Amino acid sequence: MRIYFCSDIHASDRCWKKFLASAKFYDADVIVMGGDITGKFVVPIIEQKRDRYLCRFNGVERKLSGKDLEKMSAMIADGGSYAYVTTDDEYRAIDGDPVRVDELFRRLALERLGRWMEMADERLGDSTVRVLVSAGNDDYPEVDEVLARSAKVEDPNEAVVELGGDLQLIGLGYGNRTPWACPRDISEEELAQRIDTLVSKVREPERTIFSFHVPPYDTGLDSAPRLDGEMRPVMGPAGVEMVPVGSTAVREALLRYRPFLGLHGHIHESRAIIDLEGVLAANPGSEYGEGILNGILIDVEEGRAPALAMVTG
Amino acid sequence: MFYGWQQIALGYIIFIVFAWQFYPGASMEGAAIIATIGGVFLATCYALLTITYPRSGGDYVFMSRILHPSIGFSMGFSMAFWEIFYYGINGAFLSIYGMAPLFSTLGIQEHSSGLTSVGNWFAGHTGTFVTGSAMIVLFAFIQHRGVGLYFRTQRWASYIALASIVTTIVTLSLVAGHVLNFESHFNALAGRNAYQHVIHEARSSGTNLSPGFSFARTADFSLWPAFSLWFAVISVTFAGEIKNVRRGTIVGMNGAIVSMGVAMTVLFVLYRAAFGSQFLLAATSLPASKFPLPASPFVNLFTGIAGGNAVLTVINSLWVILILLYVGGTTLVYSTRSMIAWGIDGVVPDHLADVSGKYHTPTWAIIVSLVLAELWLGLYSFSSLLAVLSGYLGFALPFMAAAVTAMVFPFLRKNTFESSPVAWRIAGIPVLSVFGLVAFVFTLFLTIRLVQDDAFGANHTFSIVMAVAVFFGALVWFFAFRWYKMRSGVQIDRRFQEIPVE
Repeated sequence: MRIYFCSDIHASDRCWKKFLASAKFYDADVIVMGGDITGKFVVPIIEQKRDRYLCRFNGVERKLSGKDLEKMSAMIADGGSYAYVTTDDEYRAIDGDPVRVDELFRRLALERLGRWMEMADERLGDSTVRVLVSAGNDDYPEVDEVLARSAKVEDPNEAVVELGGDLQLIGLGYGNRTPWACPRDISEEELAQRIDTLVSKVREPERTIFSFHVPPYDTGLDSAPRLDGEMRPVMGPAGVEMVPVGSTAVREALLRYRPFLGLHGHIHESRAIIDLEGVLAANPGSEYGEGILNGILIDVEEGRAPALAMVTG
Repeated sequence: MFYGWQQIALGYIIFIVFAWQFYPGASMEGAAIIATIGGVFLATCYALLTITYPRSGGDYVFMSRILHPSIGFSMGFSMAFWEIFYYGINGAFLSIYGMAPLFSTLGIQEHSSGLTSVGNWFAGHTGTFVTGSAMIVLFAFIQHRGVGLYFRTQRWASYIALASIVTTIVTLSLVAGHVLNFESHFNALAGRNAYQHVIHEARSSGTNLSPGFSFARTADFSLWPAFSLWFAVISVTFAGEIKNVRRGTIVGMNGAIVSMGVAMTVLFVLYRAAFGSQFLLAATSLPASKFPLPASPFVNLFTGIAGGNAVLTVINSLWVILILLYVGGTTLVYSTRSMIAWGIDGVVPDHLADVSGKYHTPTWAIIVSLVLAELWLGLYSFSSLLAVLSGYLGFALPFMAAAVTAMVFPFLRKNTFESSPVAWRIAGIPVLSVFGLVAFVFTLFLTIRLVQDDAFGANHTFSIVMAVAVFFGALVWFFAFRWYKMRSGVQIDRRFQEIPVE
């Protein structure tokens, strides 16, 4: 059996399309998305005058005409943001109102995810490939409902998934607390509790893949910039100071239950495969902003340890 | 910027001034300005590509993603191979061109045969190997204990080097302003009228000591400062660890090149004003047997003599020594980061990407670099095999490839470019392509000069064959390793191919 795992595509249209195509491309039987599927930014495209628009994307100011709108919106979507065509008056009104900003962001995020589910059903509905997509700590709770609308996509979040043979997979989209207070941030204690409950439902932890969004603490899968009080990266003599930000609960779970494999995401810059005291764990990292889909291919053969390979698609 | 300063290795200015004699009519200052301008174009290409692909691993990262993984690997391998080569050879340079002149000058100044003998030991086989090995092991140890520790020591070394450079500039200014008298200090050590005798000897041997200005020779000579200043772009290797990549890379690389270009130009002006252009040309063109001091006629020797006392000699030598020392450290940073990136991408054995659980540093990559550097150092110290080997062509190829990458990126990866933070255009033409084109012209010209220029010494058949062999060897490795991994059941055939979206 071959499994393809990736994570943290943050609403990148291009990465989602690549994810759906990954099964055929890599000859995978199961494709898994490990969370953080919604984006982080709305990019306003503001109408200046009739058929003239202004948009600032990736630090570059772009003047557009009506015929450029579709292309620009697609570019913004490929980069993982949500384009929103608006007027100057509406922009000013929304920009100063955090509630309206959140409403707009939530609507755009769920709309795109809804389209993604339709796309999955259309493109892979007839194939034998299994598609597992979980939410991550950045994703609103409503994301689960949108995922459930798809006939093809299975949501492994807090569920046990039979992969075939005696192999199972459990998913967990929650994460330990972050400075950004994300929708699915919970305490380490609660995380440990949820993991224990989940593991109690599997046949054999040693034959189970733990697809937990957050990586284990201090393993090289979880190095992120240290932040100061104003959420700015702290500079040291070696550049940005990196610190472990993973979950101690996940680390303890991997060491205690010794699963078949740990698959994680969350920290984009910590792309690695590690051996944590005999337990294999991996984080494919993320380059969604450039439309690059980083992943891990996992070949599973009876009686053998999983063979892992990093891929960049 | 500190890393860029160390990679630029201003200490090599001693070779640049020494080589001036081979380019009659060349302006040292003009050459430094040309090299600085070319360096800014090249560095901007590196910076803008790094902003688009902000990950550690050197030019390999953006070349493998824009051109092709095999090209990216071959170019990155070429750069890393020669960086490791100079990790070893710089250890020898530190001994021969940093430590030996310091002790020789002190020996001459203090009339101490003991100090002169120490200087000779540093210039000899054993001294070179021992000093070089100490440097190699020191940096391997420091970088294994943590890159933070390394950069902390590098920062302090940079501060000391900067203070030393300022002292040198002040010393040279005092000499140029006739507060200190170089000629009388030189004569006091080398013999009566030795200064004039050096000029007379060189003139008698047919050396033209007053050639008229030649722009062509100045352009040719720019090869020397260019292949010092341009190495600031190597900081691309830890682009993934820079706080504000957009500002950090552009300002860091260009800041290092411009500030060191200015420092180099100022030093050239002061060297000529302090020691006299004719004397510099004469002293460096004379055979060793006719030079009246038992030391090589490098400018750090002259600066020490000009200062007229031992303490000043030590202070004025510190920047040359510290910069030559830390070049070794910077080369190790590049090679190990590249190996991690290759290991993660699966084009070399995965172990090269292994990171120490305790220190979070790349243990195997450091060990491999250390062993290879020691091998190069041993060969350099105890044999003449490497006397004619230069790695500059091996550096020129990746520089040129980076310029080409910048030129074609907006057209080859249109979507990525258009959505990138560097999608700037002037009159519809991508700014990145313009910088790439100009950088390509500079790199092409200087690459051709590398092949033609006997004085620079990078065009020996051995050097050319090695540069080509390293590149093609890497290419063969890439495809052979891919074939091997596929045979072993790991299908990496599509590891780098972009997944079609429709």
